[in-house]
Amino acid sequence: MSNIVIDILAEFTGKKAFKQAETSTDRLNKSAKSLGKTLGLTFSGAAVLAYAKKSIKAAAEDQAAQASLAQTLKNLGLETGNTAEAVNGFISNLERQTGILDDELRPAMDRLLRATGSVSESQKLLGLALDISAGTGKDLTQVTQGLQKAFLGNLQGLGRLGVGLTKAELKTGNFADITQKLSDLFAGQAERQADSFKGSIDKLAVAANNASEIIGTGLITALQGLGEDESINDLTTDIEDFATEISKSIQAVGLLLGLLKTVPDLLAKTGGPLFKLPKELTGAIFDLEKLFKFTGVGALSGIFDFLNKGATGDNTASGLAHLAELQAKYAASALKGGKKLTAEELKQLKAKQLKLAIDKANLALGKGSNVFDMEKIQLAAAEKNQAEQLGKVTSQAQLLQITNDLARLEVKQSILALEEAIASQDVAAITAATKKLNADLMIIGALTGQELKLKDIESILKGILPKDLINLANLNEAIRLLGFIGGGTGGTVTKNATPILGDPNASPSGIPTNQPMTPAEINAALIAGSFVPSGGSGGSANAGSYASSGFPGSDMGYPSGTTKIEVTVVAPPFTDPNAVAEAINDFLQNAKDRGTLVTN
Amino acid sequence: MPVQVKGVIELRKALRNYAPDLAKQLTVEITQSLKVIQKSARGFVPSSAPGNLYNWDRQPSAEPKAFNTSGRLRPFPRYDATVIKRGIVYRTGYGKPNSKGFRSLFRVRNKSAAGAIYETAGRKNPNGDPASKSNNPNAGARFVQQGPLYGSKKAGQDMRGRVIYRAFAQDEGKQIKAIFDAIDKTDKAFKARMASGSAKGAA
Repeated sequence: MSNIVIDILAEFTGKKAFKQAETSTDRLNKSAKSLGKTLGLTFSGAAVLAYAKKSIKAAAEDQAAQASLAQTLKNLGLETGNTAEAVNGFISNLERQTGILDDELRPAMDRLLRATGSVSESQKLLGLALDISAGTGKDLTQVTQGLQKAFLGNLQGLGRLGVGLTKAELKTGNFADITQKLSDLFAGQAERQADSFKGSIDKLAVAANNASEIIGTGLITALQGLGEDESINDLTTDIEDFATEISKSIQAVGLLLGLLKTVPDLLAKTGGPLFKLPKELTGAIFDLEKLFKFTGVGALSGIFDFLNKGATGDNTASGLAHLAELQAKYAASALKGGKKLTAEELKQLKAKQLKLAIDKANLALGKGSNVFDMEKIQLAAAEKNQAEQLGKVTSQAQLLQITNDLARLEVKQSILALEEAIASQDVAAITAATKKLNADLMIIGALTGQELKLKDIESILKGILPKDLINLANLNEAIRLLGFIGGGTGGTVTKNATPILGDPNASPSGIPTNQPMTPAEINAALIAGSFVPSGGSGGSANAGSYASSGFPGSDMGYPSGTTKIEVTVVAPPFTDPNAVAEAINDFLQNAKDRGTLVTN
Repeated sequence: MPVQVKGVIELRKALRNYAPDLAKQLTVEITQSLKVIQKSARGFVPSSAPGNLYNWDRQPSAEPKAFNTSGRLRPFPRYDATVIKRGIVYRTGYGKPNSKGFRSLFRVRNKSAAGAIYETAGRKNPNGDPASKSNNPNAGARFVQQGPLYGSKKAGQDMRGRVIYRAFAQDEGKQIKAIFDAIDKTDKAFKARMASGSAKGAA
């Protein structure tokens, strides 16, 4: 949510510092209460057991961290016999001085050692890191990482710590200059914080933590001395049994302490000290390490020491040897247990990863199923459509096409089924789906192979299918023929077309053509006197030309060109002139009717 | 600029306990002043996305479920004048103390995401930011071109904006004076009432 706001009026109600102080006081109260509870609860068996376990764990972790640091020193070639001890001592001192737990200091030191390869440089940088951490409020780990990277050449990380370095300084400055500037800027911050109220609380926490670790170490040692059995399970049982016993012991010590509190009054009444009370018991705030030294655990430790002291030298040596042996076995068991734990953790991690993957896969399948269903629906619709088309098929080609389409749809369905089977990881289903897919592919392959052959069949089918008896082209030709038959018009005779059979839509195979008349036909027409063959544009005007052409019938006496025809009228001398005139007129009329008469 | 006062919280507590009617009256009068700023601010909200800011008010056909894939869980806020106007509100309850120990008494907020963008865009980079990895590194400059930022900026306090800050700046403190007057008036009335012994609970 955005925070765009105008405060019209505001009232001062107290500084943040007051609040912080209040919070710190609350924390102190809680810490004190917690400490009180811890001390109070230590008088119950269950609390002692829990505390003992916690202490042992803390001690083990501390030992592991120390060992890790020692290993780092060894790997870096810095171990010269007692370097690890010295570094651990330095960290312990630093812890007490600054109130920062060694759990933080040791990894920080480890990190710096790996970067610098020098114990003294690392100690110097760790001190600087503590100052920066105290000055900026940043986590020590974060600051140490920044310094580590800076030492290795990456100065940008320091910029993110808000230490007051400019970009130019970070870009151009060298590590020595920058650390010098940081040292100047943050000088004394860690010390100031350690001396502050918060620092005191932190120191208290450090002391409590160290007490836990010391108690844990002591418990481990004590149990190694007590546990005769070598198995880790029995050792654990021993811890619990021992914790119960220690609880009883502490209760007894508590009673003893209660009695001791009455001693000063008793002394005051009797007028003389019987013995001097340790000042640690009279202080307002106890140092926990010392507190435990003077309480039950310390007493038991003293008893243990006393018993050991009472033993002979040989017994001590053999006891120590046995202790070392037990310690080694315990360490091995612990390591094995740790490995088991790691293996178990890995197993759990793998299970989690698998579950995550399955969840993701389910999600994907859930999304994919919609698509898949849609595909199925589309396939079904396509099949239905093809089936409908199958009912309407009118030719073998269509039938072939539909069959092919159906086969392809079948293949697609088989592919989907196979995908489904693969997803279900059902071997039988996969085998069956594969078999079906292969069969479908064979079918479609066969259909594809037959396609050309069937296409040939298609053309044959086209040939044998009935044709239209009357279509526009045929109709025109029929009209022309009828006209020819009825009126005798036209200069040529068209032969009939080849009868049309088969496909009505197919083109006729015999196309009608104009055929010239045979000589016999021409002669017959000429003899009949009703026909003059055309030589071009027409009829009677060329009759003369035809007479000289040498064509059949030209010998019938037609003059060529435009020569006038001489007509000889043979009549008896005393013939009636009118009869002669009528005969001539009839002749001319007949010629005119034939179209052979020249008009002038 | 928030005005620091002292004793208003106590006064209002006392009013609630001993003169509820005066408490109500004070709230009504303060509310009236805040409403003036609110109304004025709402008037500065353009009905559509400012020019050249293409597609800011366009609802995409497929609204992305997340602004990006690196953890932001809501899409980039669309410009919607109605939503922005609805998001300009006033409050008269006490706020939490800030880091310096001040509690807000009365305030006007521009609480919608799009409203906040329109309000403050261009504050940091009025000339755009070429180094920005945004799809529109010159957005800041564009916003400033569309409308300047009104108000003032001091160290640690940037009170420049286009909506509520503009309304507040243009009011020139009139409403603050009105609020002060209302508080003074109520304070006097309450004291008078206490003196006369007519307040609730007064012996």
